[in-house]
Amino acid sequence: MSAHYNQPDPVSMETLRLRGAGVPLSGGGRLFGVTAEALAILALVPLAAAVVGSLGVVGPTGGYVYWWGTARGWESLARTMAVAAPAGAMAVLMAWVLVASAVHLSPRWAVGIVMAACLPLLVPSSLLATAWIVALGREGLITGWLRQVAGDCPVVLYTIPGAAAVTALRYFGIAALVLLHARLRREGEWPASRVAAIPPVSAAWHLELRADARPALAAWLLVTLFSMNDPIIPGMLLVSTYGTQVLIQYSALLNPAGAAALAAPMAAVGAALMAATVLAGRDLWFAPSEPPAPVRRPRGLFGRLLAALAAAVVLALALAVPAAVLVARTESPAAIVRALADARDQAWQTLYVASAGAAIATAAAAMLAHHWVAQNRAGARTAVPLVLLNLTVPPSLLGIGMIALFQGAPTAVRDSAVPLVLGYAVRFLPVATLLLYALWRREPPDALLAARVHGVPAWRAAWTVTWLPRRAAVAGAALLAALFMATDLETSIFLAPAGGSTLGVRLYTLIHTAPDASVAALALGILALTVPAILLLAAVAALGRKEGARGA
Amino acid sequence: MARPIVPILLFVTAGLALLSGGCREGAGVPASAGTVVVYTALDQVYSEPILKAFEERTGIRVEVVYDAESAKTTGLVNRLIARRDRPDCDVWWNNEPIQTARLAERGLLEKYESPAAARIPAAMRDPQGRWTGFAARMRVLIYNTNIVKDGARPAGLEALVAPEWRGKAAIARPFFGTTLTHLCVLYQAWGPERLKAYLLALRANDVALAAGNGPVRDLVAAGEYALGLTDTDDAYAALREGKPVAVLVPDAGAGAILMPNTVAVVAGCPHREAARRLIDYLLSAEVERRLAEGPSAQIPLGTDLADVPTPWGNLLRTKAMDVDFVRAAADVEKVVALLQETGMDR
Repeated sequence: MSAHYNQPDPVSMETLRLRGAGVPLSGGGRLFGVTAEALAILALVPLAAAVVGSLGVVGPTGGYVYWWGTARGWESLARTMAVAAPAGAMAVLMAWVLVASAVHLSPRWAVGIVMAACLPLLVPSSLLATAWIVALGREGLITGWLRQVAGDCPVVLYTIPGAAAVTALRYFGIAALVLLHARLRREGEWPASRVAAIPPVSAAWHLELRADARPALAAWLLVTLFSMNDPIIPGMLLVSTYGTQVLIQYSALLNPAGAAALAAPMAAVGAALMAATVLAGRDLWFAPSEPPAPVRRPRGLFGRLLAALAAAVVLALALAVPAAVLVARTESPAAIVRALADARDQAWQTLYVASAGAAIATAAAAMLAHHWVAQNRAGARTAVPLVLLNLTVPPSLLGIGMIALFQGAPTAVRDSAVPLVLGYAVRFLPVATLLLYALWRREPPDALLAARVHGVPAWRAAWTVTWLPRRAAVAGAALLAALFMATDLETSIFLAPAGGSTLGVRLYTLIHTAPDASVAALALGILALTVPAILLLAAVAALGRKEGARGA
Repeated sequence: MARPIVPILLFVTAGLALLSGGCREGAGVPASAGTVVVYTALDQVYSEPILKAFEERTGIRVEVVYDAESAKTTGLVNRLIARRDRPDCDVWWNNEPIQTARLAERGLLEKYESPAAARIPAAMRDPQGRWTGFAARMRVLIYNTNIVKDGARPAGLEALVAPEWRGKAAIARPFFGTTLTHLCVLYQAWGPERLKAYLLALRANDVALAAGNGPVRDLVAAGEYALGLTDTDDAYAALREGKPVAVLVPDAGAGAILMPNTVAVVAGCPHREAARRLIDYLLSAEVERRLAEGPSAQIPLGTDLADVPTPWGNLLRTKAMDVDFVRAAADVEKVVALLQETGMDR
């Protein structure tokens, strides 16, 4: 053993030699680095275009002074936060109950349960709002049942708390992800508490509730951010947030600059929330890349049953109830097939724009994530994290910026799907970038160098060391981005070309004009189309884990 | 160390994918007789089957931009205005006349007197031949009969500002669609001061602002609100389903507001011949009859369809208001300014 320790490690020696020669050991060289930085800046151009455009207000009303020099903008912000902040609180509460229950089962079950909680993120906001109106509106199915049982329905959906609750049900999966991540990181602390014979109440207080405080704060900030940028659910429940006013400025008053003047400070609020999220959860985000191996907590059968019941109740509320009411409102399975047949043009268009958008976003994200990891390891600064702004700002702002950029383009491009595809790519680039960055920062930094030292040909090393371990991550990022794009509504409303409407827009249009049964049938059809993509995503994640385990 | 082969390969693939499908043939590309681009504000559920029938009959591919309910008509109007130098649209099919007249006054519509328009009364056609009306709807006040009992039956628009209905009335967001049309007509009939006072009274009475006329109907039919303003086609859907609602003409003192659909060729459009064929089809007795007998129960204007029954017999006995649509169109911006001034954009 000692002889082995005394032998020089060839990879380390080569690393030292190359470092001494000034050769970059990670990343793809100077040109690649410059390209990645330029790409990060390029992704922010639509946002910049909208902000610059907001300075050129047309007419006497609608500019920064109109909104923010008077009470108008502040009232709009207050109304928006009156929905978003309680939505964040409700989401964190639900997520905490879910995660605290799920970890009593097993880490694998916990991950599965939290992934299920994320499913509402993968359907259009309008679909969820429709389902809850069908369930709990004055003539809703649950309302009718409550009237029979209790004489009246205590829930009034068309209020700010109602809008906040439905919004929370869409976004609580994000909170669950954050809380689960925090829990799994400190699972190893439990046996220590048992060994040290800490009383259960103290352990629960210090190791569960207090330890969850910071992750819960981060989760609340994050859900509040997403909720404030979703005008669809509150709008359908007659609660006006700033998104409605942006639409009035843009569509009714033909004043994109005025719309941007309202939206741009909201984007700053969003960015501030994101910054606060990063600060609040810094122990989570900046901790060592490998979490400690989760330790299964010994629990009795009763404890596990109780935990399973609590998790089931939360998931039933978030998933089963909306799905069940849609099924109940749909006339027959044939109606779903008919609804999809009627929407086949929009389905193909959605598939095309989401695929193209996801391919572009993933390609760019791969470049950005690779560069980000390299810069991180080298302790150097990079502009890549700035692309996260595109996820924190209102989608309408990006849509307005994209329209401004394409205003002078040839008509064949302006009136095609290109602005929509690029709009999607810009909007969801942060999702793919974050995912790839999170996965790739765990990779051993000198794997390719090791292959080189051991004489593996470059093409073979590129294939086996670079591509194979990363293919599942890339496929997962592409699928996730495509799912988000396929269920997007706001970007589509702004950028969809003539004859190029998407499924989300069709559903949103029909919600206001078609009978409930037709809307429910189309909603279920969209769900049916989403399921294979979600299963594929799960399969890719499983493949990634398997390959990761093999690599380790 | 890892080389960036993955991102580079992905970039090349993505670029090829976008180039292969991104720049499709369609609006803005060299004109093809086989395509027509339509912007329509008529609800998709009613307009889509008619446009599909045209497509099947003629083989001309119809590319449609439907509006989202919350941006009814106005969003499409502004999209046309924004693209006036290089229009991508051939046919403008609106569900009301004022925004169409506004487009005509801005020079965005070109003259086309369809042979099929001869059957439409002159009062429903643009004197300069830039647009033609057909298949009309009426503005109605819809109320829930479980909440509003016979004795408290609302008399008209004043009901929306009456204290007994405080917080119980709904209208569509007035910046869009036929609600904006309605206000423009009231501006003409009442003048700015009275309309301003009315808008302030609406706000003071906590009138809810829904995303469109369809949602107003749904809210009233469900009993969330007691009464609201909507259009006959929306109201008819609730009546047909047996919901507890009734309608009446909200008489503003001068009669019922009759709003025809309007069609026009967009000036400088890329597919003029196909556009004219579509307009001939839309103005035919066949389409008007279909819209009258269909689920939107529109009111046929063609002199040859006087015998087509409509469910609006009683309402049609109210004298139709004599509206100068061109003049009302000139007032749109003043009405929008009033709406902002009175805080209806909140």
